[in-house]
Amino acid sequence: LTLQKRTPDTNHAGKGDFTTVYPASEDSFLFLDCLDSQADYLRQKLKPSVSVEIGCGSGVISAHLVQHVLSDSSGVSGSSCACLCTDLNPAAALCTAVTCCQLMPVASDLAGCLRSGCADLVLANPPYVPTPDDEVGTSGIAAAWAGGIDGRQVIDRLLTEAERLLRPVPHLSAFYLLMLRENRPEEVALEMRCRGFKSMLVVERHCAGENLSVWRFERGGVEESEFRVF
Amino acid sequence: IFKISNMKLILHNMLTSAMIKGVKKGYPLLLRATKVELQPVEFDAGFVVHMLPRLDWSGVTAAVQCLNQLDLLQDPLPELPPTVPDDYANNEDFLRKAHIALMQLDVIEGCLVCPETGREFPIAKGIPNMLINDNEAA
Repeated sequence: LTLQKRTPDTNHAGKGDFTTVYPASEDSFLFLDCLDSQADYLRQKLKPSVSVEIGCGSGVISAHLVQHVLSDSSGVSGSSCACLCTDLNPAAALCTAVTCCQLMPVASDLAGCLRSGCADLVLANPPYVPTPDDEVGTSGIAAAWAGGIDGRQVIDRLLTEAERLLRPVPHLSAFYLLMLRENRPEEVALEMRCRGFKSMLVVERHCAGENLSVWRFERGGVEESEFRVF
Repeated sequence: IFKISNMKLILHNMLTSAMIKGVKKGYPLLLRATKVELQPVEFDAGFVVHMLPRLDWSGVTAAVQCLNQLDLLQDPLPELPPTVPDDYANNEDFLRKAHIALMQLDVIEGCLVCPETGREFPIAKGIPNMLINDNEAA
């Protein structure tokens, strides 16, 4: 079974009401390729009920997850996964709602408004560009790429946030994070190992002068009997 | 025609105001909706069965009660039992009622209210805005 290379339509991003929203770019497409290559793992092993994308921008990544990766082989979008999306920019949250009506966007700083342990899966394509630290988290489109010192200021907060959001051990959970070579991904992977996650490089690509990689950090996974805790 | 996604009770169930300084739990947020709509979403028993164990059921029933009290719909949402029945996976009647609340109910306008501080978070065009000021943060 070959997965058709389809991408969600995000032509509305970067214009009109969504001028400040980061349109799907090379880094986004690398993330889509990562999810495509992880389709079997996501559908058969992780089987997420709740996914949280932090910093969703146009919503292209979560849209691809729900429409093309988690949907069944007939292409029917019957994914049993609630895909939550957060963004610091309310225009991005609205743009995401337009990109895919199955997504659940909310405007938020990181995912501070989401309860701990709610997610099986966390996705983040963060602002990774090394910039002066005063460009981080401003209003407007610069927040989409400004990563501060070594491009790590948002990433470092994300590690803690993802750890908090993911279901505790023994439940299987996974966090996919995109990074730039300058972010020192191996150092981040080591940090995540110290926090109890297995680290794996999933895809890597050199695009337009940037060496980008997407990593999977995985925790838990003891075979569980049916949990029914209400 | 754009079909824009609006806030569902599943999202409401995951939200908290715990990022505010001094808030201990911040959940469930009071649902002060001013505009809601019922969408014709096809019933998918598998989806509901998969989602139920991940929800805080008391938050779901609180939201439904809140909405029925506000009387914004032509007919009230079906009443939900206080606890999820043991046979939920095979209880189609229960699953269909849960489906209406969780998947068909769109919250378009209104606000969410922190149960501890009263701080309001607006919902506009179906999107909740949970941004706070720096001086409010924990």
